[in-house]
Amino acid sequence: MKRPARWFWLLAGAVLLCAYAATALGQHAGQVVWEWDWPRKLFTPDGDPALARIIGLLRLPRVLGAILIGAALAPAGLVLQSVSRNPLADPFLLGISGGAALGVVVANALGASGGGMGLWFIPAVAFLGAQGATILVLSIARGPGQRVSLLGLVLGGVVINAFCSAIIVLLLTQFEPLKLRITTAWLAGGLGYLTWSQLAVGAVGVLVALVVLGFRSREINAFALGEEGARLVGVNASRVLYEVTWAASVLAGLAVSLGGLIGYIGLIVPHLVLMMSRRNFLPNLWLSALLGALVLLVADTLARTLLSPQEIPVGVLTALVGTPALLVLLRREMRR
Amino acid sequence: MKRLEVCGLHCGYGDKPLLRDVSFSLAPGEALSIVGANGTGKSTLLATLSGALHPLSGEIWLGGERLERVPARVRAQRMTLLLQQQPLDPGIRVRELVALGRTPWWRGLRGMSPADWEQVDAAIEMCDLVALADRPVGAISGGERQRARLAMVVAQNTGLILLDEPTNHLDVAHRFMLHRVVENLRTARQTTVISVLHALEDARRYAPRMLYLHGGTATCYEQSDYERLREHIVAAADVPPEWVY
Repeated sequence: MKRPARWFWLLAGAVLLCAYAATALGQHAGQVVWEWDWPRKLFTPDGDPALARIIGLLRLPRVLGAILIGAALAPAGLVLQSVSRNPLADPFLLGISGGAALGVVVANALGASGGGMGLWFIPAVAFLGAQGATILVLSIARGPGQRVSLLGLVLGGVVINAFCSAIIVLLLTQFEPLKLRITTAWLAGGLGYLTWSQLAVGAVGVLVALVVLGFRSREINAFALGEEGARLVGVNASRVLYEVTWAASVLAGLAVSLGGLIGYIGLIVPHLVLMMSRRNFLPNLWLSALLGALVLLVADTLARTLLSPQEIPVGVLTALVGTPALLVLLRREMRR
Repeated sequence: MKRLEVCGLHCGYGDKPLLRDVSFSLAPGEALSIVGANGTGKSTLLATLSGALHPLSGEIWLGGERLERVPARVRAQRMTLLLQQQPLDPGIRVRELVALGRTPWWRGLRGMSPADWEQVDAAIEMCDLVALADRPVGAISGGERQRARLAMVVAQNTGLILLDEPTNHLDVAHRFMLHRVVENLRTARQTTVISVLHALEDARRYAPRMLYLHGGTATCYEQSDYERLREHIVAAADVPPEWVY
């Protein structure tokens, strides 16, 4: 059923329903409980104030954080796949998330925290790391005829990820135990420490990046013809590439600064979107944002309840599902 | 007004010209074939005319304006180039590919109008692609892909079309179709067509004028000079005359 408008409303409804249900899902004494009347508990001052705080300061930010991060990672993957004409382009595999994570760890090492100046400083440094990695991987992967090669992209990603991991580990060895525990939990994909202020900063950045990409949808569609072909249909290819890499870096940088390294959402979701819609960037951008939000929301809810009272880092869960999917995609591409 | 004027053009890569002092002009509906051996600068000349490569010196005027002063989008409304090879997203369907030819005509975010789709469907029909319109370009043959790219060029509806080896991968029936499409564009839309061709017979068939590139220079031949041009090519290539056709 390739009807993007129908899928849009279906996914939007599913995100709302899942968000409501995920906020209702809590734990008491190690047991998973459903609190379907959570809006009443949250907004009634004479209710249980401890529970209201849990919902308002922990559960809701976490649910909204999962929606925001998913809605950032999937469009970042979609746009990278569209301009490189490479189905394996994904911020995580290409080392862009790694670059952003390195930025955040460097900011942490310099003493920045999630509040105060760090509220802006950490996402900004994550963006710089992501932007550096994007420029580096695209320059490594660009072969003859401006074609971004599959091998170059994957190898470039391996090199950047290896470099960033090495520096991150080196910096972590210098962290004190509490800071080390928090940073490693965040690195593996942890949405448990999000605040409303962080979410507000993230939401503004993600929205701006998505709107910029939306305005460039006509040009991004033309990249199906390659850079030279896009130029022949009137697209200023180098300017669009610059804007697109900027937007992808904002999306990946914000996602990492909020939720750590969460892989495969940017890889798998754009492929699922192509089952719902034709190759038309504008509807696919909004579909990928919604589907990315839904997938990460479900994944995070499973991550915090599957082995309750213990939590699985959501990055581990997405990797467990994403790796077989990557192998299938890789095999399909190598056969072409 | 001339659609394309080339005056004293020197073109090549780096600072060494591959072609020197090329001059010609074409009016609406006129056609020119470019012939020459490998490495004489045919594709370089087309790349320079399309604006992908900066001229080393000389001037190119497109629709009365210096080419480098024409904004990218307006340039794409006036001129396009059918590349010899083009990396395409294999998942894109033929109709979607042809529709990309309408990109320079989009206004804001409104996308394709019904009139745009009419042009797309007319181009698909003209290039004998109706049965393939819903197939991904990665799943069709090289010749079919060449026709799909030609249909995209037709849908772009520019006053000037540059064709780089357009007959590559085409069987005889579709070479005839290509010729018919080009003639149709010239007569019905007054499109100016410049084609780079290897076969001399094709060059004569496609255009009344032929630009022969040899030794860094370009010489213009009329159809009536065909035999003289053929003798030049035979002498330059040092092959038996029956091999040049």
